[in-house]
Amino acid sequence: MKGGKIVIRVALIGNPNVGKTAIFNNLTGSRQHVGNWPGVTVEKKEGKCTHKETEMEVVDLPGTYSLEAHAIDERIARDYIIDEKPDVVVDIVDASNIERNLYLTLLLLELEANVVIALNKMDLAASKKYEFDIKELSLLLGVPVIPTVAKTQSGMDKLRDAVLDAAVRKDKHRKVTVGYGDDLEARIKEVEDLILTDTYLANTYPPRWLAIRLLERDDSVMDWISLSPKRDQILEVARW
Amino acid sequence: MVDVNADTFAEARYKAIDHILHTSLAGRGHHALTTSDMLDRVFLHKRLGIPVFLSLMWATFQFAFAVSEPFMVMLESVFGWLGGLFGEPLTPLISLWADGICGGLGFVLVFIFPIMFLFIALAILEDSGYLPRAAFVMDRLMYRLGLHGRSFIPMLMGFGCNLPAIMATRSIDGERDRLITILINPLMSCGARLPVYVLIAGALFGAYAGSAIFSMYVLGIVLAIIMALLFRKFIPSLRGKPAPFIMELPPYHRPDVKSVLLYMWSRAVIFLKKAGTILLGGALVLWFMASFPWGRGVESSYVGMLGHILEPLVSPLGFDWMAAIALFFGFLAKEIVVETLGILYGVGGSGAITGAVATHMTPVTGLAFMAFTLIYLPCLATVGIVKAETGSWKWTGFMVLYQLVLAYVVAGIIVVVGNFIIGVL
Amino acid sequence: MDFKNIGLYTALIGAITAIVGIFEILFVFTGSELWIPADLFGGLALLVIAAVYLSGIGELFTKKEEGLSFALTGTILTMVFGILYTLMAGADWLMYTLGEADEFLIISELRPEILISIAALPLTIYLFKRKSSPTE
Repeated sequence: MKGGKIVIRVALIGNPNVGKTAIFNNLTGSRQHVGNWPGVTVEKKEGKCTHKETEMEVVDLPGTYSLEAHAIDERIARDYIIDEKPDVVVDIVDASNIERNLYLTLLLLELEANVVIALNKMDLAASKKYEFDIKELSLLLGVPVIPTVAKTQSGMDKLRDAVLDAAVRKDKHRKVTVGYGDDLEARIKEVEDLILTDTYLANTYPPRWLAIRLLERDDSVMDWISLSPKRDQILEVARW
Repeated sequence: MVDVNADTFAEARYKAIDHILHTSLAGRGHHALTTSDMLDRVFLHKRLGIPVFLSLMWATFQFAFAVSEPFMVMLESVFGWLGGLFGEPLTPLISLWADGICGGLGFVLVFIFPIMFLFIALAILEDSGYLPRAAFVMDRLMYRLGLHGRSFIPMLMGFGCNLPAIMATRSIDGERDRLITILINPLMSCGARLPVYVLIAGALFGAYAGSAIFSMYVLGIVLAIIMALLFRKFIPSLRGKPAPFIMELPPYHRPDVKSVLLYMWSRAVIFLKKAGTILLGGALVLWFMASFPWGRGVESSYVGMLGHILEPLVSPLGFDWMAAIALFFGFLAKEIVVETLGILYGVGGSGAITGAVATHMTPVTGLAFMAFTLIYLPCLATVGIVKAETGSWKWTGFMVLYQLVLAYVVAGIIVVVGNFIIGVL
Repeated sequence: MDFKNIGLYTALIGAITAIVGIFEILFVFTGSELWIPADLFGGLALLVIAAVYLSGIGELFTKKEEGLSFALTGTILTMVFGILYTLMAGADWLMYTLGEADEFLIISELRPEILISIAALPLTIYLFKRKSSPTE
């Protein structure tokens, strides 16, 4: 809380060229400043936005296609979400190119971030004759979906409302994630159960997500696992 | 086992995206809709999804009851003939055969048909790939009502048998969620209660029997939801982070005849095994208690004495002492309720059992009895499993207690409201 | 058949299903003189199926392939219920021959749902054929 106002932290994420910058500018206007992410030469944009008595501290994460952490941009985005645990993550999706964009969305859902989707470039999508059933999409993904056209500010107010709403409902919100079929799910569960026995790991990283990273042979999680007393067991169960 | 790597998961994600878009986006044009996509546009539909699910469930119960009827009748006649092989039950030995084994055990064996047909239908729904969709549409609703998404499968299993269903709750992460799921699981009407419904509804509701039975299942679900909400509110709860619902949508395919029959057969075998052991044992004990002291008639036998002691407990609900005995022994296994009625009505000299039911119960009482059977407490084996899974006598005792109380309350309401409606009409 | 024709066929079957459904529910309260039986849940199920058909008309008339989803699922549901009632009629016949039932009237066994499923058969066959050959 700051001087009576509630403060929430909002992170913006999305593929490159989806209009993330435009939305960031719409939200923060002139109340923004540019710096660097610690230790790297990647630009970090932060800003503030006040809406209905609530102050939002907005961080613009680097544009990224996935959260694999191979590239520095991806690593920054992912680490921010895991370490800082922002109240809301706004995933900006390009409606006219949605297949590609939803991949990141699914990863965010797996990371158990509190996601609100800004379905941007609706005008472009319309010209391609796309017709979205927004409610159905929202139901299937389990998160609010707000159609926007950042260029014209269309949908921005609804987006701000949705962000506030999501921040309030944070822990009560019903999450949905992709299932991988019985065989894979059994493997995931094996690893997940073991992770759950290490309380530090279980509380720092979403257990299911971590299990999947291990099965995907993601090197970057090695550092986190190494600190755990259960390290060897986990690696064995993951057959790594 | 093929080793997994990043590609395995990536592939699955793209498939999921495709599917999501086919269900929620029109006009993509260049991607051909698969049959699975088309079916999911309806089965996962925000408004149509649940009604379609309910309709299919209703059709399932109609099927199980109506189509099994003639087979039950045929088997009944067989047992009737078998029972009469040695003439009138004038001696204990003949009575043991005619009234105990054929009348009691034989009577309950007849119910293998509704059980088989019900499980055939469920197996078809399962094998075709529809059930995960049902889980998804019901999950949205369940979550808003305080039930956990991962509870759906154990709850669904509960419709088969509560015992493995409660064991399946191990997959639920949060301890509170798991406990709540265990506590309300017996309200999912298990396969053993079906014979009770079939008997009573068949005797008292005629053409509406299927619907009456369906309403019991619905009642169970509704009560489960209410109890889950109440438990969450009043039991000091752990505000843990709810785990995400894992959406698995396998492609639809034509149900495989072999696997459907295998599944149904495995359930049938479980029933038959139970029949050969607990139910046979129960039938023998009951027959003994109902026939001795010999020659004195049912009312004055041991079981009659027990029944008269128990009767005051249930007479406000309109149940007579035979119903009380049936419920009492039903603790061992729910099928025994039906078995007991079979023996008591038979030993008491009544002819056709369904006719006998009609003379001992009114439709209102029958409905209340069905509801009482649904709720009052699970069978001994299930209570044992609950103790094993929760590790606590306290919670096990709590479950038994709340279910007894709830059974009384609900049956009471049915009796009061039912009689009021009848009085008004 | 182009989308418009499918749309018309679908609308027709949907309307008939809805009307029969409404009557089945109505007759629970007023008693039934006609051949349509009084059946609360049965009527509700019909209304649900009708809703599925009618939900697709919009998309079919605007020539969107997605509209086929509703027609396809609707016909599947119609077939399921048609088969259900046929089986139930069969069971009733068995009961009659076993001496458990007093009568077996074809007119009351041949429920509207069975006839609707026969009427929808051409559409069902067409849709199933169509979906197996993706190019059309």
